[in-house]
Amino acid sequence: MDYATFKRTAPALGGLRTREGAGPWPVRRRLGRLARAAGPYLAATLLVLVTGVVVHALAPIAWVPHISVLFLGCVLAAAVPWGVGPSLLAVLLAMAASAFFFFPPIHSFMVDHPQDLVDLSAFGILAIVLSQQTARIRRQAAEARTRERRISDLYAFSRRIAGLVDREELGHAILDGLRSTFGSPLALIKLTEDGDRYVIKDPGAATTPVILAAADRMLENGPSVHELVEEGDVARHLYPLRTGERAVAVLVAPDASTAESVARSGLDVSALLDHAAVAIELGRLARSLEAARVQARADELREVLVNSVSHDLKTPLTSIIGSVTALKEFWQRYDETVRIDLVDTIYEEAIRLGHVVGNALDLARLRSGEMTVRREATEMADVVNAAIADVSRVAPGRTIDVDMPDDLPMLEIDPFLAERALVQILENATKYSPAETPVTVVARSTASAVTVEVSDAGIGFAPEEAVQVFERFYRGAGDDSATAGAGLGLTIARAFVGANGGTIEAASPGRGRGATFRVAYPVSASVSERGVA
Amino acid sequence: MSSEPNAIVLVVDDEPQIRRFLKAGLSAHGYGVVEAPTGEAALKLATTTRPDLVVLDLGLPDMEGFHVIAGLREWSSVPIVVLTVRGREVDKVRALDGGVDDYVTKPFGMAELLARIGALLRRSRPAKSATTFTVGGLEVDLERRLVRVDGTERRLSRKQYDLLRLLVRDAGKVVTQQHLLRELWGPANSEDVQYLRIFMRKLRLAIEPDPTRPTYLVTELGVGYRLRTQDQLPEPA
Repeated sequence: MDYATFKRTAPALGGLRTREGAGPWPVRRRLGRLARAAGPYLAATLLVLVTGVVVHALAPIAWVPHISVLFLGCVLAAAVPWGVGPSLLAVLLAMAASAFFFFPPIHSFMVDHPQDLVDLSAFGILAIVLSQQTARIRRQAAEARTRERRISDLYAFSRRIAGLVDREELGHAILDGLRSTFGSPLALIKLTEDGDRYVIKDPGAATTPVILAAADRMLENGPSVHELVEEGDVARHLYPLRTGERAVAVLVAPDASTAESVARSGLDVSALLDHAAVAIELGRLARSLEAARVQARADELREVLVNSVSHDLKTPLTSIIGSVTALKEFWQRYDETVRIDLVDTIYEEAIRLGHVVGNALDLARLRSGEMTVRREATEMADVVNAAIADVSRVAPGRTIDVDMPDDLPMLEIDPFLAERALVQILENATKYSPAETPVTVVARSTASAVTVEVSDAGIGFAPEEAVQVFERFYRGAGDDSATAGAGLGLTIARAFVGANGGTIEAASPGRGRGATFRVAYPVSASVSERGVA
Repeated sequence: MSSEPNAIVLVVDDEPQIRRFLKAGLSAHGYGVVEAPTGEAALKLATTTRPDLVVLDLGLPDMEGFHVIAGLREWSSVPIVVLTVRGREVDKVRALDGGVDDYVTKPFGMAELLARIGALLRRSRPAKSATTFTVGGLEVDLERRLVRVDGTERRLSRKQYDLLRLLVRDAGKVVTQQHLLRELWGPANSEDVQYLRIFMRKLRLAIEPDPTRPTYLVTELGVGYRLRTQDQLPEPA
């Protein structure tokens, strides 16, 4: 990334400084900064002075022959923690102190002996070289430390955002990782898979139309440089997040207060942004893979539906056409029994066909959302009787036992939806249980609802399938494909019961042990036996 | 099931296949059949052929079946049976309130249609002087306002009896709940279906062998009630 463009921001930086200096706090901050900068020089000075004074004071007791060795120590001591400036000051002070305290004439900066002058010069050169070298080593160590920290920061950042697929989650993780470098509040502007703009931002981050327009330009043209957007007296920095030639997102950072830190950290910034860009691209890829999987599943379901419905339509049609052509061509040859048998087949299969078509229509109503619910005072007994009458036409001769008290509370529901739902449940029960076993219907009233339970002695289902049985096209593990029905009946039932304000649930003690479907409609408070003799 | 000889039935349906099978089925039972593919043709044919009964599909291409009903009812009280589809219960109520005598939901069996037609034709003949109505074990003596079940007299409240009487008057036909409400409680209460449900529950308790699974007074879900006639009773299991 080319940070030369920061030059363009210089006037803005100046302006911001001015604004910052308006209050009392910045003044104090500047004094603090001054104190921090002056400290090492003061310390170096003290170090040399104290050494000089102590050695001078001790001179009558213990004469130190080579004072310059001690002063070299001082220079070293200043160079290691404080760097080149304070240590050079220490060199100058040490030379002055040597001349003043130790080289005759004492207590004068004059130096009498040429030999002392050579000593002093040698000390000065040696001390300066030492100070430079020490400072260089110190700087390198500091740089190594910083590099290490930055690499570990980067590593932590990329670990935090790697593997996040959810757009929102990933966006916030990226913002969290970038905030320490770019300041806050931040905003991230991305393009969705459909080309819409998608913005994730910290609280308080402004994404004005001007910023959005600039971001759009960036996303479109994929420039490699960052851009400053000024709007009134607010400036925002826009950084492109790029993978290869393409900008996948734009980071909106606050104005110049952080621009300096961004500039200082140099290459690390582009590494951070590149990592974020890669994570965004990976997330996008993961999402499109997921979408492809979902699409594949939908295609699979559609195929199942088409197969199932065409099976349900073709089977009765085949029987009907077969029987009819037989009757038409061989009428004379067949005796009464055969004719009646064929005609019965035609009748039963035609009724079955009618039900398949009816289900398809119910499903179409569900899908188009044109299902209107017309509530009226309804006796559950009427609904149950109508449903049983209907089912008896498809499953003639099937025993359906009914247990229904004659004082069930009145309901305020749509009787047809309730009846259609119950028909689906009854059909399901007759379909998945042996013909010789009875299906039972038990209606009861509880404190707040009227319940209808339909039980069969059929194939049942495993406890974990209790919710799945209502899913579209779901057929139990124990189902053989010869059973007619597109696996839509219970889905229709659930939708109709739900639209009617009721609930439906399924229970089974296990595979092969029968099933119970329980529908409950709430008893509305408004429907009570008021004022009727 | 006895057919009414020489009766003319006007079949109004735009689907030729349906007209064809209705014609075959009705002719086999001794009815004369006149066909009309459109509402306009139906209204014309009705004036020229003077049918004894009309079978009318509500879903016609040229005009709504309701307009045909209204057109016929302007000058004729000929019995009308409409053919409707499932899920259009509102249409049934509207047709019944518009003067239609009965309906059959598609797909329907020939036997079902013949039973409705037979019942309507018998009713439309000059009124019998009989003052008692009998179906199964139920006997209603309209003159003496007595109700017996299996020979035993049942006491009904005045409103219960009124309700039964209304259904007896149109026995075999669906009577809409709105019609019953209007007749029993006046036009102001025609929306309060709940009253009717409660009275029907009490009436069934009084005369039905199993009130939760009625034999005589059957509910046409969301439309109304029908008092079955003898030939509408289910065959004993």
